[in-house]
Amino acid sequence: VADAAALTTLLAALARASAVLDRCTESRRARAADVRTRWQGGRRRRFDAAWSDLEAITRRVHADLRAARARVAARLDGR
Amino acid sequence: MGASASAEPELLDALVRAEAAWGDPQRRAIHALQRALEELGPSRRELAPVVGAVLRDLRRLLAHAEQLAGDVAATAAAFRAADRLLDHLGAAASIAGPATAPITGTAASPIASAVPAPIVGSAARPNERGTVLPVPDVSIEWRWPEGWTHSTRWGDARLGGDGEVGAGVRSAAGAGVDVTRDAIRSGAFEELRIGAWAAAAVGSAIGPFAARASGEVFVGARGGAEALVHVGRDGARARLGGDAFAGVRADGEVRGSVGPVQAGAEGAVSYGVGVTGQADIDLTPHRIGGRVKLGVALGLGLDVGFEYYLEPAWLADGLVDLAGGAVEVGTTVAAVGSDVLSGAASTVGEALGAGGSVLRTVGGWLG
Repeated sequence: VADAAALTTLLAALARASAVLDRCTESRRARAADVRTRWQGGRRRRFDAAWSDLEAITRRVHADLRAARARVAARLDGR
Repeated sequence: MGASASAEPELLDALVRAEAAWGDPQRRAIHALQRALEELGPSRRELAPVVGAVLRDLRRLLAHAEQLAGDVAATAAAFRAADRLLDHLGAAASIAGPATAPITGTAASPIASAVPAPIVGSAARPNERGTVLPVPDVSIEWRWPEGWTHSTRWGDARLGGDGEVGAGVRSAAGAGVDVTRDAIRSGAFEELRIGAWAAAAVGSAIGPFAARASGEVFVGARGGAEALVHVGRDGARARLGGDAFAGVRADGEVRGSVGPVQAGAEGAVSYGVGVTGQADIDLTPHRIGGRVKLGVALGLGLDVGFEYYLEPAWLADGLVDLAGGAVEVGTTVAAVGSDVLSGAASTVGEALGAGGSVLRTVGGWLG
């Protein structure tokens, strides 16, 4: 029955994951902007493809996290 | 080739180092999320798909980032090899000027070799799969108030609590296996309960400090068993337990965490017949410790349990932040030093150029 307590813990874990992801993404983008211009030919194409995948997944994780936090908060608020 | 060699592998190293440094916090966040999900009560079934999607995508993101970092590290090594080749051929003089070997020529101990090599070629393989057997739940229960919870917020701080009274029969069972690129998990549980109960719980989270307490009074009979084994690249965890009881029982637990230490105690006073035994063991880089609960009742009964966990990552976080700060300060100092040196070189060059011009003019007059 300790559900509200566990939900609170889960919400805190989601917030932590979100904060880590934000900081990591910010750091990665800043460094990758420097790096991208250094690539040539095939390497550049591979980097762009990998970077595009990474950004797509990052956007999806952000959306997932927002949805999960809203859902858990709603459950916690009894909605 | 000249263009490749003029690129600065240090920039690539910075990205590789950043990915390596962020890997651990991400893994810890995933681990914390996984544990929080496992500790959910009645909401678990409703929230498991939503939180499970977050977990899957976070793992996939981590795998992609590792692959990208591997590619970048390989390219940094290739740039350095090209630099060394140009240096040997003397071509570097045409790029970096006649003064000395290019900066990257100091790569006798390239930074890339000091960076922990990410897992190259282990791209996000969509081979994660899991199987959960259909759960034959039987539940005829009366609960009041149904799903009541209350929570309050003050800024970032949260306080949540819930409570209920209920009576009825409940039987739940489940078994499953979950295979990901990081771990294999397998578990099963069975729970049977007939009786009436009153329960309440409260939890709070203020920044890194969290605490929770719960209590339950139960009259009736119940039995259960559970087993969970997790073996993966992040270590091993196991949970085994079982209990059988008939009578009247009051349970309580309190748990708190401060910094790297999480500790808790639980206990029960009962009157009836029963036996309880539970053990959890965590041996992972993120969490080391365990929980034990034992109890017996024959007439008057008593259960006691303790848990103690240490999260080494909390300590490592501080060190990593400290080291990261030192590296950033060092990088800034180096950049400033480099600017000063290049400014001085440029001034000397201009002075020499001016001197040459004067000499040429004087030579012209003499000629």
